Amino acid sequence: MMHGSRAISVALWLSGPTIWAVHFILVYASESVLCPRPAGVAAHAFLVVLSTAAAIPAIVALAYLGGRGAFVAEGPFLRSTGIALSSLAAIAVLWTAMPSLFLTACLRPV
Amino acid sequence: MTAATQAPDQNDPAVRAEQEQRLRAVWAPPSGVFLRWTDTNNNAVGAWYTLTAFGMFLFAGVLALVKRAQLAVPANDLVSASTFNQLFTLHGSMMMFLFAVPMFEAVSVLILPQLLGARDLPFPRLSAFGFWTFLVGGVFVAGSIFFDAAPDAGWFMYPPLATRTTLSGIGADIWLLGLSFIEVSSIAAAIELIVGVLKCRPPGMRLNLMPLYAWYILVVAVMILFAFPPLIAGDIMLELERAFDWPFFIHERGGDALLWQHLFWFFGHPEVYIIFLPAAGMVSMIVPTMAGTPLIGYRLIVVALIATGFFSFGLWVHHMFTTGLPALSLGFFSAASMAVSVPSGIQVFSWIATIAAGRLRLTAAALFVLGFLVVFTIGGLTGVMVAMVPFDWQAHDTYFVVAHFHYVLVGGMVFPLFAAFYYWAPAFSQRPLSERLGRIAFALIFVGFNVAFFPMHITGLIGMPRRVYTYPAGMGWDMPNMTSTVGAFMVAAGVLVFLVDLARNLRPTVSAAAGNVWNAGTLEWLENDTYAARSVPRVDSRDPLWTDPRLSEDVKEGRYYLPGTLTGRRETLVTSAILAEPQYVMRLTGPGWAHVLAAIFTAAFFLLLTVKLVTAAMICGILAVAAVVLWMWETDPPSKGKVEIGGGLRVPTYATGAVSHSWWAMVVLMLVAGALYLSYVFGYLYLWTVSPQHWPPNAPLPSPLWSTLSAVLLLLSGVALRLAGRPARFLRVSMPTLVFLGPLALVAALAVDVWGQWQAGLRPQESGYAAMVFTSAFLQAEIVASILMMSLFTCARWLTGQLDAMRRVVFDNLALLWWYAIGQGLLGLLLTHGFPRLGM
Repeated sequence: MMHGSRAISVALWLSGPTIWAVHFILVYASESVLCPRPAGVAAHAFLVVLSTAAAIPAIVALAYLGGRGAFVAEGPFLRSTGIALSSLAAIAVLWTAMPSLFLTACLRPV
Repeated sequence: MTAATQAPDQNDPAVRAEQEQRLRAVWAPPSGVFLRWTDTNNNAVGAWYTLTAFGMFLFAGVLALVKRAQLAVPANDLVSASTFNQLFTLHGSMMMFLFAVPMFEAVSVLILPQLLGARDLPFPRLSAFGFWTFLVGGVFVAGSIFFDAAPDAGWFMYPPLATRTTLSGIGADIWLLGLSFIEVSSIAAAIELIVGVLKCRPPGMRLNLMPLYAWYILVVAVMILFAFPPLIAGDIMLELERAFDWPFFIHERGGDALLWQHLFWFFGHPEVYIIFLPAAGMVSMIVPTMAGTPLIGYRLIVVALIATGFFSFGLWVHHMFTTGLPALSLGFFSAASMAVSVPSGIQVFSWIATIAAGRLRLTAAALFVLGFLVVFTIGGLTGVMVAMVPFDWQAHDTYFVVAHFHYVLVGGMVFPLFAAFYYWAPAFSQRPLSERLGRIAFALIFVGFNVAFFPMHITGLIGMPRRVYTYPAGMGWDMPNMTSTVGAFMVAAGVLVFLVDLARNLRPTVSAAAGNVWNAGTLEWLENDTYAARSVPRVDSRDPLWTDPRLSEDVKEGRYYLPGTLTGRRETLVTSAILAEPQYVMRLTGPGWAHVLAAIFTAAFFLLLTVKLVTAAMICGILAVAAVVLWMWETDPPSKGKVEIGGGLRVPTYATGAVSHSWWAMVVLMLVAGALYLSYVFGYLYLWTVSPQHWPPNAPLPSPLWSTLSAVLLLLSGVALRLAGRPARFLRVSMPTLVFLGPLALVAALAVDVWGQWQAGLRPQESGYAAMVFTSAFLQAEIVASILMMSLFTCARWLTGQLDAMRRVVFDNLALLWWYAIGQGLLGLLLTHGFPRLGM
């Protein structure tokens, strides 16, 4: 039986990459929604900063929760791999957001 | 209670002989010219499947040779432009859909149960069904080229080329409908493999002890659940546009050609990893054995694998860098494309470290692995190059890209596959394959491959576009093209040597295999028979055969679990998903005709639609459903009470709810349905961002009364379901009444919704918006139709006394999908009635 607590520990285990996915879709999809609107460029930059600033602490907090609590029951395997996954995800979030430092939204190159 | 209550004495040879005889009788394959094809045992179906997929590889390879012969010299006229278009489209489509993906399913069906010490996968008939649909569909798609009717719009079928019936003839329909099989069989395989890996592991094999191949298969199967639905959504739209003029991809009418590219590549990029990762899983099994040491960085590989699974979904736009998307969007995808090389790098370094830590035996399998490392790494490096947007603009649609993806796919999939053939042959054949022929094959394929594809980087950089059927002399392309052609024929010679090796040495068997000639450490090397290992071992390490030298003998003497058959049927042990604690004995379905007929009629349904024989197609569709009902009727046998499986452990023989394998399968199926609907939601919102002028208030919107009535009907159906599910009610007539009437409320809810839109004046041909609104109803109708059938089936089970408060899997599965349908229905109403009212 997949107990509730076990389901939570699996969810925490995959929380890092899940947050990466949500952040990625948000920063990418919002561009085409915001571009036609007034102040869309600034709004998008704001959104990228805000979502990145929220994603990193969220990844760290959930990794901490997972590492401290529910993972323990499953042994060190889920804990160590969960932390490594979250670390990779945190790097990927920063990496994804980086183009915003160099490019403004809504420019069409070709 | 009919089951044995006393543990048998495994020291008594007579007991062991009797157990073995019963096992053999239960697992005996059907014999006879026709009957043998009704078998469902994984070692039969897996072997047919592997052989068929390899046949597709050979066929698609021959197509490539014809192409290379055409391109060997400038201004050649060996084949016409039209034939060439069919050749490259079919070569790409077949290699991707009929070889690479089915091959991973095939090999997994063949080896996964043995690797996990299970008797078989949890749904043997589903595997067989997947195989038969693949065989019929694959032969049909491949054969189309002999009738000059093969698809010719490129393997990614971009509209408008693929949607305008004047530009692409019946070939596009063959692609769309023919490859539907592959979607069906891939999803069937994904369900089978996920439940197999999570629920059929031997006791004690916790997640962290699982062989890496099982980890890879688990991740890939989950990726299929999310990658194939966008393709299915795209296929549905493309076919609706071709057949009924619903303008999803026509810009002037509120559609957008790029929507197809988004949907296709949202499938297409993860697809590359769906192809590569199983092969990497094979490498992760071969390297430790050949190096004689456990794999270094097991945990890191698991992390890398899961990270790759996630990141690979953030890459799809890198196939669309030249479509004029905003620069920043390209930047996000460029960054993600580079980020994915980190987890890929982790895996490559783990393999290299393991090779360095042990002593690598340079067998044919090891050579192919080394070849893989070299070729795949080069492909990865050119991948980083094309991930850079400015470079991609130069290289896009040139031979540089052709070189890149052949290095990735042939390096990442074909080399490991040959390694796997040489590595695992002794487990399934009386003789191992020849090391000498293996080395010759490797040398020819490795050298030939590089001779063929390395020059293509140059041909591409000096400007040769891909997919041209010929070229003029004097462009600097003559020499590299001739070189590539020579290399291609060298590869063919290598494959020929391999075929000779197969013919001379491969003698498939399960009961008299050559055995563990490599001294490997994992369970597939236990002595096997038609029933897999003699007993299901308890496992407490990653390489159990290395850490417990007595294991083989003990398993063979039946000293572990399920040494005989407890229920008199084919059975296997179900364990918990994370810790692998024994939960119950599952009885497996055996040979039968129903699933074969279901596959053939499903195939006939799609194929007849391709040639527009609609009535005949519908008849075949009905027959397919009837065959499925027949197949299902034999499942869900009643409980036989608790049985002693060995080691003093007593487990039930029946389970429902979250413990049961069928619950997991239903949940996985719902994830597929959910991913399909979300792909549709993406398409709906995407068209809104592109053409908001076609949305209300510029399009008719029905009064809120209609959507409210539809929502009330959905909720009423939920009340019926809730009431029907009470255990006490299972004994009364009110249960089947509710199960019969409840789904009718779902039908009414759908009808009210569609009628509301229709009477407001909306027609699907009008605009992209209108087409999307009706597509929501189309997707809901599919689910509701399934529920109607399942509800009739449930009532029939009740009437025949095969459904009660205890034996209720049939009802519980119906309930899961029913709840899902209510949820999807409500979401659909919110989207199609609520979203346009937001006034954004």
